[in-house]
Amino acid sequence: MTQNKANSLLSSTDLSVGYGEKGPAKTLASGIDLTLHAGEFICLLGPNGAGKTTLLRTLSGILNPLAGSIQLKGTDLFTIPPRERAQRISVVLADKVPAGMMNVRSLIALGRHPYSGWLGRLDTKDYECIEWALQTVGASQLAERLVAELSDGERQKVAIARALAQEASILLLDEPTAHLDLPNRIETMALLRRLSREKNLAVLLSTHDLDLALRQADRLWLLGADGTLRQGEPEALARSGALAETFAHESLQWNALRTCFNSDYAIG
Amino acid sequence: MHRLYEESYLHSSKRVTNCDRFLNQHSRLLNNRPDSRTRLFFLALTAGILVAALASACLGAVNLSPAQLFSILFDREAADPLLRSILLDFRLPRISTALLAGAALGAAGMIMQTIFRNPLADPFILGINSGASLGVALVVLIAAPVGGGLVATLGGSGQIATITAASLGAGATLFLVLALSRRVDVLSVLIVGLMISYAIGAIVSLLMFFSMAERLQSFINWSFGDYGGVSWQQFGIFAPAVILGLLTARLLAKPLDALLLGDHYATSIGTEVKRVRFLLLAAASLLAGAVTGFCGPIGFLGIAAPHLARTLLRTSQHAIVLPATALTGGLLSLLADLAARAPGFDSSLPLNALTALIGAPVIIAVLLRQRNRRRLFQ
Repeated sequence: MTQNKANSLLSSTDLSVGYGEKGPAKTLASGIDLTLHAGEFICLLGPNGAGKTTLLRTLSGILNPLAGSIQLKGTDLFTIPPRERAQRISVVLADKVPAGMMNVRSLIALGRHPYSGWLGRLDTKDYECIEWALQTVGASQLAERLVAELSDGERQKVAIARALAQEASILLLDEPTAHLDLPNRIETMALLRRLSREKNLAVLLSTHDLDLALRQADRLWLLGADGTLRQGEPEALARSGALAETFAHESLQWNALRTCFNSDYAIG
Repeated sequence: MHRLYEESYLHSSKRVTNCDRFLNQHSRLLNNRPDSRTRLFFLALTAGILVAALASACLGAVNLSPAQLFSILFDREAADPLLRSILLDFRLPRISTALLAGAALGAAGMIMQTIFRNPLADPFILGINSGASLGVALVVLIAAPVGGGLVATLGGSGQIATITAASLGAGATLFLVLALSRRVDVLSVLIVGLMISYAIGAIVSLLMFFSMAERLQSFINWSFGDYGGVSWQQFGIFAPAVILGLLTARLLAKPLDALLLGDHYATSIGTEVKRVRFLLLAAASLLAGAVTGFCGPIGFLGIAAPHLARTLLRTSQHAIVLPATALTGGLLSLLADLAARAPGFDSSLPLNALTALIGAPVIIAVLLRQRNRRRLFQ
């Protein structure tokens, strides 16, 4: 894959991510050079604790990088005013969306914050956009329900709709398929892939669904426990052994033939 | 960027009628345009406040008939000067104070609950209450002169000293908590506030242990809470402080909505979380500090009013819930004060006890009626 930074939406140069702005910093991953293009569907894979969440939060501008820089269409991400940044990057976090007395539509309406005035009044275009987002994820029938009463699958759809209502060209998702059953996982992945194609969005999501990621993603980003990021097309990474190295564990063997892991542990 | 959405907007023109019909029905959920339920709620609240204020003006040690009330207000010549003084110099400032104090405590409680994403948060949990009581304890228990000191602390110059001490104590605690709030995360601020509360409470207990019985009595009187001590002159300081706090909160309704999602999400939709949180905490401090300084520690309104408003309106949108909470707090506060001055008693009952007696059942009822009671914030 060519590192074409010139026409990328989001790119990073020698990026180090981690936490600890105060006190001793803990670096999770460093030397990251990556690019994200419009219409691309990318899955971020890696073992627990490798820093997937931290990388996503850094790329979305929520966390400051420890070193290096992130460019949004050539402009340093952290010099862009928050409101403007929110018009370009939207996120679906792993944090559970809390919402006591909030129904689905007013939750999605929060996605219009980057566009509304400082009193938060919405205009016709905002309403249209909210309806559009609901329809796009197939959640129109949920609009009046309280968020707290949704199932996990419905809540994930609604969270994606909220991000869509932001009309950003980049969509970053932190484990959107966690807590979902298989049909919902497949549906969510298909939806996100469709969005990247039809709306020309750059979609980046972290996941532990190796299988789905290998089949659906245009490219994979592999974040190893050693803090290095490797990127490439799924097939290439599977064949080169990069996947096997990323998830290296004494009880796992990479099965190159079937492109999946075999486990030492007897199952069933 | 909008190019991406052109396609969908072309589609959307087909469903505009559908959509518009929908929006008209459910505008409450979308924006600040109130629907019939909200209007009814505000109307009922306003009516309730008017009735309570009228009752408050008429009832007391000396009962006024509505006719007397009318003649005092609109036909000044004919009115008995004593009754006139009772109404204009004592009851009206008391009613206005009760109303504003309730609104202030309700709004401050709502801000705290949203910021800390905790349904039990209220301004007093941050130690504002204890800061004020330390200030008052220092004045009343130690600094006041012996002998005549008791009289002085109960009225006249002593009262001003008490108010000043309470405000300073509240302000100092708030400054400490605000300074800490910029360094640690939200939950830690809550814990820090609680710990400061305990520590200051312990100091006050020690002071009480070593002080004379007479002084103890006047400190305890302060800690009962009272709206009656605010004169028009003091109201001239109290009212602007409360109104400034309420206005700040209302203007920050949008970021308050965003904060319901948590700090990360709020940041991701363009909210400058740290700045907004600081402003909100400052507003809540001003509101709670002013009330505690002028009226004493008054509990429970800060928790009860937001819960009541949120549950009855079935929304978390601050543009609607915040004014509703202020009105609910004002009404509860007026009712508590009315009950405190229940006919048959020469002096008023401890206000603090009555707010708790009204507030606690309200909270329990609200929680039990809620379908998703555990999910108010999570």
